Amino acid sequence: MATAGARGKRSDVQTHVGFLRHAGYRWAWIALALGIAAAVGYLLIDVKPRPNGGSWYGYTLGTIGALLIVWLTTLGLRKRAITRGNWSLKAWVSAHVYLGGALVVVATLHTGLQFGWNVHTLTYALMMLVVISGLVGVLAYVALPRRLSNNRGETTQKQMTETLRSLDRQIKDAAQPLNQVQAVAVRLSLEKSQAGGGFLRRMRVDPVTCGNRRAIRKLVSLRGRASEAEVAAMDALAPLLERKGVALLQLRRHLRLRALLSAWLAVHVPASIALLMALTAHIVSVFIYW
Amino acid sequence: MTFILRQVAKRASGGEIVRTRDIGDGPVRIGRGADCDIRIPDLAVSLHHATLASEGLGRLRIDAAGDQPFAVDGRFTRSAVIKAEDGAVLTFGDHQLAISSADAGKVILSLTEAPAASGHGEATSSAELIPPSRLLGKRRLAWAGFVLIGLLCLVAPVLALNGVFGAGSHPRIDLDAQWSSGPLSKSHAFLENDCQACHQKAFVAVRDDSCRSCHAAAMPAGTLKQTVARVKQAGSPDAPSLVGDHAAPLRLLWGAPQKDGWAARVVLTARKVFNKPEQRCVSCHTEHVGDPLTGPVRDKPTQLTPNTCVSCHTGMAARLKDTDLVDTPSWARHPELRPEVVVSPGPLKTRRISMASKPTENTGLIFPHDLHLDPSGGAARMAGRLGAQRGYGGALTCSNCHTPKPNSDNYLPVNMEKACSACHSLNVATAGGVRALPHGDPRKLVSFFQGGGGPVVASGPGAGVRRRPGEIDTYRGVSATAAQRMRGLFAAGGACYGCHAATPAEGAAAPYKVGPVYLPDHYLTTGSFNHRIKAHRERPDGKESCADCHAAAKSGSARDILGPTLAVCATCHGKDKAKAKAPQAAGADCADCHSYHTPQRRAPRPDDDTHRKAAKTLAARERPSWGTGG
Repeated sequence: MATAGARGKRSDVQTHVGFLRHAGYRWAWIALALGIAAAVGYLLIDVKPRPNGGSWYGYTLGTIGALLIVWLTTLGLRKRAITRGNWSLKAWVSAHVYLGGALVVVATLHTGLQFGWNVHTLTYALMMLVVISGLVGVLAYVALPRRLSNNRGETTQKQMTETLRSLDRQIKDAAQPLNQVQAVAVRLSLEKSQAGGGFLRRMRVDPVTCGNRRAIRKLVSLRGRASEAEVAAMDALAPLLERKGVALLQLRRHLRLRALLSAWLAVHVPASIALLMALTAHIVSVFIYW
Repeated sequence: MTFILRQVAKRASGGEIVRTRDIGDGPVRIGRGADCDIRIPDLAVSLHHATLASEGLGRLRIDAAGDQPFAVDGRFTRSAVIKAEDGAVLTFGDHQLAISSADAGKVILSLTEAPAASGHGEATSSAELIPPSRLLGKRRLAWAGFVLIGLLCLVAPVLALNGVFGAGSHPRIDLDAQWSSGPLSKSHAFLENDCQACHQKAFVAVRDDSCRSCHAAAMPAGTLKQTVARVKQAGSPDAPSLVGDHAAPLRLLWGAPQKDGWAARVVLTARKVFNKPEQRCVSCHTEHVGDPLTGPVRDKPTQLTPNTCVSCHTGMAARLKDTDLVDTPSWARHPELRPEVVVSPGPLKTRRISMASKPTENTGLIFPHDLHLDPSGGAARMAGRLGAQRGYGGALTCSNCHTPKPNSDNYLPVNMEKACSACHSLNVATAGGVRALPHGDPRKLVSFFQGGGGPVVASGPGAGVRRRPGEIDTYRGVSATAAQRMRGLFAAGGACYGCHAATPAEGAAAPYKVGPVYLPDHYLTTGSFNHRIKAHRERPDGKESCADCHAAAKSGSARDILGPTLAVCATCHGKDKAKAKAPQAAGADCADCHSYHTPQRRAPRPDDDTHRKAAKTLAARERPSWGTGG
């Protein structure tokens, strides 16, 4: 049998196919068909007195939309169990992404393009927020991993912090001959050079407040009044601080990209959960005032 | 005094490495500089930070060399004197120098590096370099949104509609307004904040009872008055229009055609599952369909037509076996008009008879139209003599006797005194001179001949019971003279004889029996003809067009039904407007003649207030008939 294994290859190794291209865009086609079917129905069916979520076609689209929303949110449960095959997590994510897009068509037609300050439009707005944040996530997953990998080169995040720690030790040793004022400048680099932190801090790759940058500037300004031995120590420090600057930049870029890779989730997940409750209120209120 | 330095370094595996060095008698220089006796490699420490010297008597003095202080047992100072035997701990940057005295005048100085506090000195771990702060708390945010929306959009309105907040809630805070999917029409806009006015039961689709609470035509007058006052107070722009049922709800359901096919079956099943029955008021009159942002722009609830008139009134007998309604699949196949004809005036009997069978009626009155309308006959000559001053002149016209009813599409009942008495005088000679006989009430007639004192109480089998229309009254206490005079009137040649059929008495004492008169005020029962429409009333040249429909000039008997056949209507209605000669082309919409909500009566018109009094009009169909006796 001329299986892949028999030809000397590992049978389970394939070229990597991302979730977007999974199974030859199968879910993209299914979602497209669903969206077109909903739109054609909307155009062909003359709902009296005007298109409305409360017509029979509106209820049909609403039911499809509600089921889609519930299924889409179950990805949060499904992703915790990675399996292979047709119902692999990749297939699931692929369906999640494309059916999420089809949901926009179904739900928008369900509204009959009637919006107001009510729980129904709140539900729609939350849904759109979820879908748009999800779209941002898809774009992030398409664009960012390459940039992350380019920035990282062959190193890992742990190696980056190791490099910084080792540079800190060298800086500290080289700074010993400096007088107190100069030492304070060096301490800026040692103590105030942060990477990471909150989201906004992570977005700034090379902040003006960076301790290392401030240390370099201060030492340059102190150079004129320094003694010979101190100038020698400064000359030894300068390349170390430069190298630390570069290392910090790389680490911060790394952290920023990683933050961007998960930032959309900070909108997508809470909005999804809120959407579930808004959807419940939307449906229950419609049936209470049936 | 000799100083011995013990430098303590922590091993990575735990444990300590201690190096001991004798540094002489002092003074001892402490600092980061290479020339110091005790070197502290901490950038927070000055090159020469402090000097430690013996003062004798076992006392040690420490002085800061520059501006930077140091700590003695945790207190910052720039100068300190301590007893060697008491010992002390000096702090320089992240290093600690413990002073203790040993025997033979030796002071031991132990230098240890304190673990660096966070944010102090170089980063020792990646956790410190990258603060472990979360980007945004997803979970917390998710729960917050979930709970907030649940409370505001679901729990609070549910509690409010169950009256939990009671009167304590502010009148302008309407918690369930957020559930409204669109504005109400202008006529219902005052109910916008009162969802329960229509949605009376949770999870039950709006039922007709909600609508009937304001719009039922069958409402008693007192209730109607209260309802009008109630909606006016709530801010309604006008009084509720009153509507009756087209038919009993179940008959409506059964009479409507059922659509075939799987799609219709799915819709039907869904209606059953979600308890949303058909043939409710709201099946046709829908609300909340406007744009939620623009407010009420529709004047009335939006009307839908799930079934047209024709769709139900075609093949109805197959669905409603006991129906007596004739199918009307189209205008061309509309059944012939079936006026309600008086078969017997007393006791009153009416029957709907098709115009196709040329029905005759029995109103109890003798009146030949042809005689009166003949332009060269006696009536015309008489009218000519009366002259224009009394409203006549030349031949009689219809309007000489028939007066349009104000605010109605119909005519007033013909009044004998007004219409006939100009020629048919009621004047008789009495003891008190010539006086006009009272018309229409036998009791007044008796009273007239008895000089004012007539019988008040009727007697007979039904004495004391309210007389029903068409029943003949007999009176007691009528004087012989009065009886004689009355017999004279109704005998051949008497004033009443010409119009009122009377049966001569068998004996002189027995009374004449005069048949009751019943003049119907309308013939059509399920539709109406609007006499006020100009094209119905006048020819294009402005002359009255009564004769086009009513062949009165050729009718020699009051038994003739003078109404037109449907073919007469069709000379104008239902013609192709392009082909027909203007201005006679007119549509043939069912609603032109028929009203869905008052099917037993005329169609309501915008300029007609009769439909508002539909209940009253329905009841006011009886006119007193009369008889007389001795």
